[in-house]
Amino acid sequence: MIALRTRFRSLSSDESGLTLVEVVVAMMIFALISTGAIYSMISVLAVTRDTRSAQVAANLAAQEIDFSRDVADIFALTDETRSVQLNGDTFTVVRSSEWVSEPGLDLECGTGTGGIPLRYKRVNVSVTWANMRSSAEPVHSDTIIDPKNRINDPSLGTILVSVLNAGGTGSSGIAVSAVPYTAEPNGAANLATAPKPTDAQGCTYILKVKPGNYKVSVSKSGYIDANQETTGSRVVGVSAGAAASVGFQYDIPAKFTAKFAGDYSATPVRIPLNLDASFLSTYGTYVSSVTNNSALSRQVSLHPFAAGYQVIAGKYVPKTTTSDGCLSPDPSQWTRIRDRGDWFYGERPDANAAVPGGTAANSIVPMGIVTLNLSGNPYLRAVSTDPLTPDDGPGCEITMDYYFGQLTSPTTTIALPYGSWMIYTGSTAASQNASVGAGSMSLVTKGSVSLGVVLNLDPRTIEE
Amino acid sequence: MNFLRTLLRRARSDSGLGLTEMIVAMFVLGILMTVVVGAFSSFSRSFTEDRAATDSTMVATVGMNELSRVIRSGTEIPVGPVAGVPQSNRPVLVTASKEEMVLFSYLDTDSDSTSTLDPERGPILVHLKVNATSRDLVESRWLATRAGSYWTFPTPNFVTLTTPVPATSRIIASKIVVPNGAESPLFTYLKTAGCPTATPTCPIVPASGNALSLAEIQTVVAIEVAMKVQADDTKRANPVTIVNRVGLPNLGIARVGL
Repeated sequence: MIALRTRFRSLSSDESGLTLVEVVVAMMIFALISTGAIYSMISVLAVTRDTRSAQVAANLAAQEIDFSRDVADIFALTDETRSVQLNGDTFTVVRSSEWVSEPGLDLECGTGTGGIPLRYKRVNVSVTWANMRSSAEPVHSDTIIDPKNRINDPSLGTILVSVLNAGGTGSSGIAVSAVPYTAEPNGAANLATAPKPTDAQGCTYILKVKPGNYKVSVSKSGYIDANQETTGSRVVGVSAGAAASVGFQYDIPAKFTAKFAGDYSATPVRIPLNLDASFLSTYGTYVSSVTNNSALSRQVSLHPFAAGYQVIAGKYVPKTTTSDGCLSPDPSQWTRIRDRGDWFYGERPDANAAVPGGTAANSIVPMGIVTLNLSGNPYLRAVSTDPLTPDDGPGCEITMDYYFGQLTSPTTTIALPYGSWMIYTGSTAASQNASVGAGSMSLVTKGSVSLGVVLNLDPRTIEE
Repeated sequence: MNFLRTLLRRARSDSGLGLTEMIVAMFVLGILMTVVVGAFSSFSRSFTEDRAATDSTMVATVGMNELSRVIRSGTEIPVGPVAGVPQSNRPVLVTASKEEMVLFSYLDTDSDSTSTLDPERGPILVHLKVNATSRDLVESRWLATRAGSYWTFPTPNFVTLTTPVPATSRIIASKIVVPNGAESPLFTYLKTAGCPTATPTCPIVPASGNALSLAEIQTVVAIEVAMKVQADDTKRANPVTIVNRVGLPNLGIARVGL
């Protein structure tokens, strides 16, 4: 203040105007203040605009609730988004709805085991508009809608069916049927009315079902379920006054191609005519079997799991409590061993995935390869056998028996799934019982011949 | 800087400003004034438009609130048997046209019972009409009186709405814009009967004239109100439209199917 006063005194006393610095500082302060003022005016405009939009949106939300009360079929009342042009603004009206089985508990079809039947539907409407301020709240409106007729009966049950696609979202328009489970109906009776196809959320509701066991099936042309069946079915038990839940994963199949011994191209290679291929996914194993197919490439249509499939040659059977299965075709089941200073281990080939209806990249299927020197063009057969030592693989309790047919040249390179094999020849297809000795075999891939006759094909590679 | 200092030094002398200096100073001042005046006028215009739009919205909102209250409380009225006609329900609406509506409503009613001992409150008769010249939406109410088991209204045939004088009459919205051809009118009456399956409710188009016939009135299940208001006489801001659809829950018609 004293400085200012001095300044003013000097201003009034002498006639030496303002210096440039003072002018610049004054202008800066003015600019700062006016920026603040302009900013606050702009935000006032934005706030009042949002307030006006909220008034319009509140009426649109109320209208949407009235639209929801208009539905001819309460089961068809699902999630919907629409936009409305009004006063030059675009308003987005989002409606979401869910069945409620117990106050405070939404019921999503297909989850859990069901339990409490449907009571009413809750509807939530949320309206937003273009150019909303980030801090502005959308307008919400909620209601609950009761079906016109009773949908529950204390002496009857409900089946909630959920059909999801490979992406895990609801699959609509899938035909659903439920019939009494013939093996053990337990009181089940044929349905009075056929269930509706699934709605936009992938749900359908089978109401007033007589208690008992039902076989629920889903079907749609060109679709495949997670068990690789075109018509998926499950058995579900329904009790009186309760809801049973059943879920399916159902989508358009994708094409997966196995290239047997695809990593070996030095000489032409023969594979068994009835070679199995195991497609491993996180969901389980699918075994593709053929009876007379020598093609090194095989295409299979399978459910398009997002994680894809790893393909191995041979019939892989996981270990269970009652059986040791057939583990040797799977390289990852082979223990890590040390041989002449190096560590060796087995690993499965990479998984390949595809979108529904798409085609996956080719899956290279590594196999054990051996060249046989056999004269007289005999018929050839390979039978899996127990490994002599644990180092020779995890074994295969469920015997694989593969035929090659008649050989056409004295030197033949064959590919077999990993594991221990006995090789037999015979002059006719019916008499293939003469075992082939070590002298006629020369291994191309890693392996050994034990006791002069047992061929061990080893998938393990050197650890880097 | 040296030039400025020279200028300042010269300024201390009594030699005044040269013409060039004067012109430059005026030029700079001119630019500054243009910017400031431009900003000021654009802000003031924005705020005027904003206020006009807000006014329109407020008028429309207040009107819509009242309309949706009245319509949502719409009710049928039982009428006693007269001249051999058995007891019947009079429909919610008495008159229904694009800008005029007469209906019965069970709304925060002041309808008096015939006796102070009887605490029962009766329905009201509401007349909603847009004045053709002033474009004000006027709401007039008549109270019911009890006659035996039935309610009666002072306007016996519900047509001469000027006599007797309504219990209340007020403007609930003003400056309602006449909708152009493509826009929905203030009131659209909706029915469920005979609508296509894709749209469970559809508008009723009067068979003749602007007003719905009695048969058409009996099919009304919901009323769509599209209120377009221009509160600013200078029309600097665009009019505001608020749309709402109000069902008639007292009707006893469940529009929700199974």
